[in-house]
Amino acid sequence: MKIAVCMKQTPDTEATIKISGDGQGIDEQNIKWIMNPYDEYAVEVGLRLKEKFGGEAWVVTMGQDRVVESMRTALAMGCDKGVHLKDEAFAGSDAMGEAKALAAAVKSLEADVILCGKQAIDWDMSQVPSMLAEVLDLPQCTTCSSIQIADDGKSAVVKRKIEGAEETYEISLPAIISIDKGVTVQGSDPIQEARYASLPGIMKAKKKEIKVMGLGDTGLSGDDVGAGGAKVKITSYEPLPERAAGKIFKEQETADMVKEVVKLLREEAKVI
Amino acid sequence: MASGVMVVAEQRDGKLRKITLELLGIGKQLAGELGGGLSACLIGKGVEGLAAELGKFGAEKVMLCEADALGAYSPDGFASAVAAAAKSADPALILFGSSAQGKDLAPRAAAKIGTGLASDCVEVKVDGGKVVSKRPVYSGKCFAKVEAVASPAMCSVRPNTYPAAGEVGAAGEVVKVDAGVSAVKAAVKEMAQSGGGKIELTEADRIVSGGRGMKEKDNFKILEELAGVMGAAVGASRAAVDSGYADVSQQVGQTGKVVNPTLYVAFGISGAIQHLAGMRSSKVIVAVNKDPDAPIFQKADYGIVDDLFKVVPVMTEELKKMLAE
Repeated sequence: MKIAVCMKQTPDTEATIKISGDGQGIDEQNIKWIMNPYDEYAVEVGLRLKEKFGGEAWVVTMGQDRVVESMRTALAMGCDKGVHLKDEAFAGSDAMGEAKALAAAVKSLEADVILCGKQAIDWDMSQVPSMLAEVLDLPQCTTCSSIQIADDGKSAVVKRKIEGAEETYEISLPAIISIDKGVTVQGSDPIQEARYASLPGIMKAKKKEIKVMGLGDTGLSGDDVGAGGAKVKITSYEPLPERAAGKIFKEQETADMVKEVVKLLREEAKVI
Repeated sequence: MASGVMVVAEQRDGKLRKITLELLGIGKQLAGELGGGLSACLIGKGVEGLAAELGKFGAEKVMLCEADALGAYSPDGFASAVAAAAKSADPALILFGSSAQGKDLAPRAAAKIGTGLASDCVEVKVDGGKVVSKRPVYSGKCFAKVEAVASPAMCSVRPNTYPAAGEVGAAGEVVKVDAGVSAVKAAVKEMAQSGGGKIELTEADRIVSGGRGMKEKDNFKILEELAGVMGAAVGASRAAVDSGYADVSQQVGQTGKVVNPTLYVAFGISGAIQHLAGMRSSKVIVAVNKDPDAPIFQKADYGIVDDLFKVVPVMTEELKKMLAE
């Protein structure tokens, strides 16, 4: 079985996001870059499928040079090889541009299962998996909570949680599956945490192959990707509105404080 | 020329979902600003009865896409239907809900139509004839303003952002659209109710949430009781979920759910940046924590520095009294 995991590098969850002076981006100076946390779960799922069915797990990433570090993390966790979509022409791509480039890489791998995280925690769009499925003309299951691949590796029963219910789909492979935290794979316990890279894993990862794919290798044109190909454009970033200082009660009788807050919720905030 | 707004309706078990009414409300306003009418796209099998309902809430035209293959939700099948409806209605803007279905469907439909999408918007406006939206990025740590540069513009809107449309009374014109969908790649085969009919966090108007301070799983019962009194959903911080006190489906925060209630009450939650990312857009935040230095107090509109186990029972009683009046 050939497994492709699409991974994005994002700022650390704890990172303080500061908008750059011109409002056109964020200040990247003190940002620690990590593998998107949902993509970590996707890598974990990919590795478990590889352990069960054999084959290869590839990590596929688009971005500048710094993304290689996160790709090495995926390789250290156990992925076999990587594809790095790297070209100036990709810079400023919207989700569709990203999906087209990733699709080209995934296609070249002839993957049976294409995994993504359910969303990247930078732009929080959750668009790429569904777009990738459309570009590749494949079935999809996004925000997947359970995967059960048939023994012959040709089909899968997948589930996704929606508001107050869980949907079950039977799909043929290859397919695009985007992973939510707490996913179960082949009847496993819910995955709350991806594996850590072991020390030998980290040593081995240094020698694993990362294939570089530029625009020319994808068969796409400059109009498909990059800022020029984007169909939506971020015009500016804005800070959150400041919240007025709250009314905090302390060092009084519990009942008095609670009564006061409940009263304020009704009379001042008018939410009860 | 493209004009007006098309809302992609969402129904379950033959009933329109609340988000659809919210979209019809803002859709009507935006259609006025963009020039053109408000239409709705209704997809399924045997759903024609809902067309009148959509009309009642403001859709002047209902693009009805019915087919045997569309009886159950299918991301690829429904995307084809949206594309066919869009071709026929020719809207300048298509609105989706940022619901579980909308998040799955909208990007596929955008890719099929060949346009761009701004997802999970908390504001959609028309500015100089252009559709401009605001959406939280970096887990709600800031906003990005997004401009549509292709037509039709497409936005998915976060639930609870806009009020539901009121009834206007008129029935919309029904336009049958043949999406030519005879087979789909993936469709819902089975749907199991979960959560025992509990209010879904992402749609909840009120949420009570517990953190590490809840100390053990059993203690969540007192929050459930309070939630029952308030008509609220019960959420949890990552710390509470990772400690096994609450289910992962209850997690609010960066790697959990993003919620947008009118009232969010946090018990024993310190307010890690990770958690704030998921609940910061709540209109009113109440924090209860023993630790006066807990960062959550900086985001709270109202706070009580005290032991949550003393506060919860009193609050439950007080609200019971107030809501019984």
